[in-house]
Amino acid sequence: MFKKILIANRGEIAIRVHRACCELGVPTVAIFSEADRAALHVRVCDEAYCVGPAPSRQSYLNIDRILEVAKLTGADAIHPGYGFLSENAEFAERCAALGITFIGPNTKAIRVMGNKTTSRVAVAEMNVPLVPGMKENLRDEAHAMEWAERIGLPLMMKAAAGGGGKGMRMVTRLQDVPAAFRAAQSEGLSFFGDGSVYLERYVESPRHIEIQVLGDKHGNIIYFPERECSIQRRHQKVIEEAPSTIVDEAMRRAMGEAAVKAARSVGYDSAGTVEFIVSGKSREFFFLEMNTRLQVEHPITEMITGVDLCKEMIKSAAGDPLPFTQGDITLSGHAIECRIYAEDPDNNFLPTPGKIVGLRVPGGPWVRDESGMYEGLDVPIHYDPMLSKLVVWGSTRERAISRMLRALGEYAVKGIKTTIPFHARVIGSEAFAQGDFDTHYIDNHFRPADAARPMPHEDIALIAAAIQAFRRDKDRAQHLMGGQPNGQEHSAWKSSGRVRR
Amino acid sequence: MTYIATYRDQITRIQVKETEPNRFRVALGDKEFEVDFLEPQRNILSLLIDGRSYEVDVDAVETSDNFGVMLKGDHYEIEVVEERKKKLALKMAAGASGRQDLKSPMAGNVKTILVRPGESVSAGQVLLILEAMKMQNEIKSPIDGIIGSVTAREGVTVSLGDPLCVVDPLPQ
Repeated sequence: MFKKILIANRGEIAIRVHRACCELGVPTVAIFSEADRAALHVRVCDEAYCVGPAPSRQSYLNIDRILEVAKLTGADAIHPGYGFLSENAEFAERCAALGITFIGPNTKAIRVMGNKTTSRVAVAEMNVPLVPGMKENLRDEAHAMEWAERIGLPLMMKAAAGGGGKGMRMVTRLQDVPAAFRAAQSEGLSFFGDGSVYLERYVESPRHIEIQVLGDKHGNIIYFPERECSIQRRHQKVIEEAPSTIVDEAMRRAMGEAAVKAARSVGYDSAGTVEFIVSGKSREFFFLEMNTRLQVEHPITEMITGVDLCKEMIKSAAGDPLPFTQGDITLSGHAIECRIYAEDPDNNFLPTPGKIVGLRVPGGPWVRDESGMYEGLDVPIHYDPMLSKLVVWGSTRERAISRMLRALGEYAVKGIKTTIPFHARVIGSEAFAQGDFDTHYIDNHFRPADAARPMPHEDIALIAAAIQAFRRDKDRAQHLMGGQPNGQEHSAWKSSGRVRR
Repeated sequence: MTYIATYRDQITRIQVKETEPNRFRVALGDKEFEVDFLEPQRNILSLLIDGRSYEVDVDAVETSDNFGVMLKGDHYEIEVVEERKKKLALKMAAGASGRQDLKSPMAGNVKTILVRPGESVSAGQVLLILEAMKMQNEIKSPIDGIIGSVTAREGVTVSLGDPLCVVDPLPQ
């Protein structure tokens, strides 16, 4: 096992990795930007070093500085978490050059899977099903027209280096192909510095279902039961659950075996995820991409299998063989995760950075809060708005749903708006209860209905506001006359930080 | 005291009377409510109305008449103004020009400014782009007009409610 692990990340995932290290008895080194001096991960790790100014490029992506800290502290391994440097092959190579273990897969796997075109070629050789489409990049508009006719409509025009919904264009008419080609090419260039574009068939009622895999340095790779990640807003996952309502035992095995084949195509030797797009109509599944890191939503897999993926990932990087075989992995019950964001769901999901002046965290049986929050934390404007992940387990899906609703009801974050109430409405919706949704559900169906929802307690809200106005005016009048205000003593729960700027 | 409350462009007249300590009689339009009131924690109200218990989180925005109310998972932005003051304000607004003072809807970083003072703009035109938490947000002109002044500076951080720029209406 390693002597010391540097965690090259921030927020909840840095704390998640620290917890795994802690249980393995390995001390940890945190890094932080100047904006994150007060972040929780800085306080929980054993050592902590500032790696630069607030912008990520100068701190959490600053390879030179991070490696300096690793050398200085004697860390012999680096866990990159997700995002930031987690899928950066150059970083992994530079770690290796210094004799530091990058806790992730081999660099070839990162490179091949990091590009949509090369990853499709690699997995196709292993007979993993692909969405009907091209295995090469488009040369020009004429080439695009020729392929569009060959594959058939509807189509997706995609930037080869794309991700997160950027650089994608749906095409329903042949005459729109040239414009979509130009748009995807320019978005690919501006967002990812790569204008390569390809075409593939558009899958109807698409569901996003993914398979966690775990490999070691001895050639063993196993798969875990699927995660259903179709509840997305603008192509970003919002709620995940495991297992999926549309996957049965035979399909689970078929998807798992396909995922292991995809992982084998690059000699995968760590924790990773193979993402599939599944037709809600035909139940066909097609390889989408492989993420060569620990995913945000890994806890739901842990909850239904009892395996600590983060810890196993570290052990496998240290050279340990997997302690279990495929037959040892069993599925028990149902897990759901809600990603809690610092965003205002009633105001077009605008980010809401600011001070958390009150926090009540849900508890009770089978409730897990993966969080970087604490009362008094000033949520910085520089990074991803995810504050925490609320994860629950239940012996059935129905029980997991009612437990999640209960836990969301207990979760109180004061001072900034969060997506907690929005999650409660999605989880409580009929479509969610039925498992009847695809990746367009939130944007096309749920949100329009949600914005127009009745506000049953409007009268009470008006009464509360009017009474507060009345008490404020009375206080002011008494204050002017030199009397004592009737206001209460300030408590730590609500301090003056409450006042909005 | 009589107040005028505005919620989602809907105006309600509200009379509030404190009948005894922590007891209020509130008339909402033509409906009347007896309210048993307690503020057990600062800004967290416990209201008992007809035996029903409500926990209400009220954010008062200092130096304004706006209240942010969180109740059973829903958020309400309500303006509550004393009736006489509201009437005065309505008179003032009617006489004022249609000058638009654009304020920042969120804390963030001014990424790009797309207009200069003196430039004419049309309603819906993007004036500047704010960035926070990897999200870019466009600030658009609410009217056809001319840019009066630009307070925002590129690369400079702004807080919620900070002035960004002024759009003057086109001369008639």
